[in-house]
Amino acid sequence: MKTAGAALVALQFTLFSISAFPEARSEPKTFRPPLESALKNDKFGKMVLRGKDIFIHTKELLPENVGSNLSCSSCHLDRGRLENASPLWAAFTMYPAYREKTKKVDTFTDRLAGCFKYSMNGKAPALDSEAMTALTTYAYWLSKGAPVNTELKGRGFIKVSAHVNSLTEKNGAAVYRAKCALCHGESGEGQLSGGKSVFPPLWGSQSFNAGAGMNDPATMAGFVKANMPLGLGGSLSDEEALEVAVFVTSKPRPANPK
Amino acid sequence: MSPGEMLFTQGRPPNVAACISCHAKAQSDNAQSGFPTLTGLSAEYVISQLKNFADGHRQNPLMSAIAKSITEDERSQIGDYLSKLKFPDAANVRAAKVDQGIESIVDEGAWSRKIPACISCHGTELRGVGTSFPPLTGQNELYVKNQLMAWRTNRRKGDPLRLMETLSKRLTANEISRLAIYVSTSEQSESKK
Repeated sequence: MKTAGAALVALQFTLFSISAFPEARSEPKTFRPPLESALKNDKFGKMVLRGKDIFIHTKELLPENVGSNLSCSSCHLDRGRLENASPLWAAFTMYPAYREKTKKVDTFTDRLAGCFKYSMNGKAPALDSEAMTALTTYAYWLSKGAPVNTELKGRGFIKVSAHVNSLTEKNGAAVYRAKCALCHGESGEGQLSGGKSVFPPLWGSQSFNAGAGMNDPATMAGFVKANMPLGLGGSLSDEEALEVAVFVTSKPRPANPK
Repeated sequence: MSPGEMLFTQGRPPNVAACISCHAKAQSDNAQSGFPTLTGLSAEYVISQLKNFADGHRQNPLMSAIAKSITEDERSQIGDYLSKLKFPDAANVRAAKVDQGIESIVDEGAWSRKIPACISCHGTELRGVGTSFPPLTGQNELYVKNQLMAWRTNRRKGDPLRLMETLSKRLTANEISRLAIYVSTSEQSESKK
């Protein structure tokens, strides 16, 4: 299936480039992380899978470190593999980096700690712990073949072209009811199944705190536009994405721990 | 006996047949007919599907006629009754050699085709989430297959945000058949809990 698909894409591309735009330059290709089936069942491979498990079941595996009903994979879709949903392979290769948020040069593991502190409203495991090693190893493995210190296509979230005005928040409430409440609940509380979070809480005590990157409406709008509703990414207009982001980020949530 | 139980077990002659005459409570008793198991579905889901049959979003010669005869109050009564019952466990255990291609769609999705994991909406072990995302484990294979194919070929409408219509069109017919087998059975270790 994959091979056939790739062949078809290649064929279409060839036809396209010969017939229509012989001089057109190709768009930069999106980086493809390695397949899990390529992992060896050795100590490194096991650490990668441990990292993946923690990434998906963060709260269950690290209950002391997560203060919300969120996991890494709540925002980093497709196990941290999906472009425009802050894929790990585009982040790992950009660290160490100076960040205004911390006013210092952070390593990738420092950056992970920030996700625990703000996005999951918890407290990161020690930087040299097995859990942080596992998460870092998972990100490292996903980045196989990616250029270091080079901005990759699909990093972070897209930017929406829309502007906030006096009606934005009010319109956002309507977008929320129509498109988001089905899964995330009328009060943004998310939904559980068998005690496990299925639909992430978007505000309230179990959501990310006010210091999280997702609490910036522009950031959230980019995530929403490309990825929400889950499976229907790209279906909202830029305006709708920004409206609903302004609405959601206007709601109460845990304070910024600074 | 509650009005909902009365409707389910005895119907309201002459227009509303007893639900149970087609919809057995055990998954295995519906396997041949492909009629869905209804016990344990949320009241909201039952009500919305009865509406869908009545207004033509879903089509089935038997159900369309019956749904048009069921009053709004009766929909709620049936929904209320069914929601208090247990959704059955899967009658059959999955083959020891699991269909890994399908399992990965269920657990992780197929994002190169914009297909999210089934569990990301239908929940852990596909046991359903809230009022709008029904349980799948324990539903019968033929019904699951027929519904995915109905969405895929525009014969079923009315799903929230057209989520299932959209996603079923990203699946192949072959994957749909295999998904139906997978979701109607349960994992070996899980069934022994």
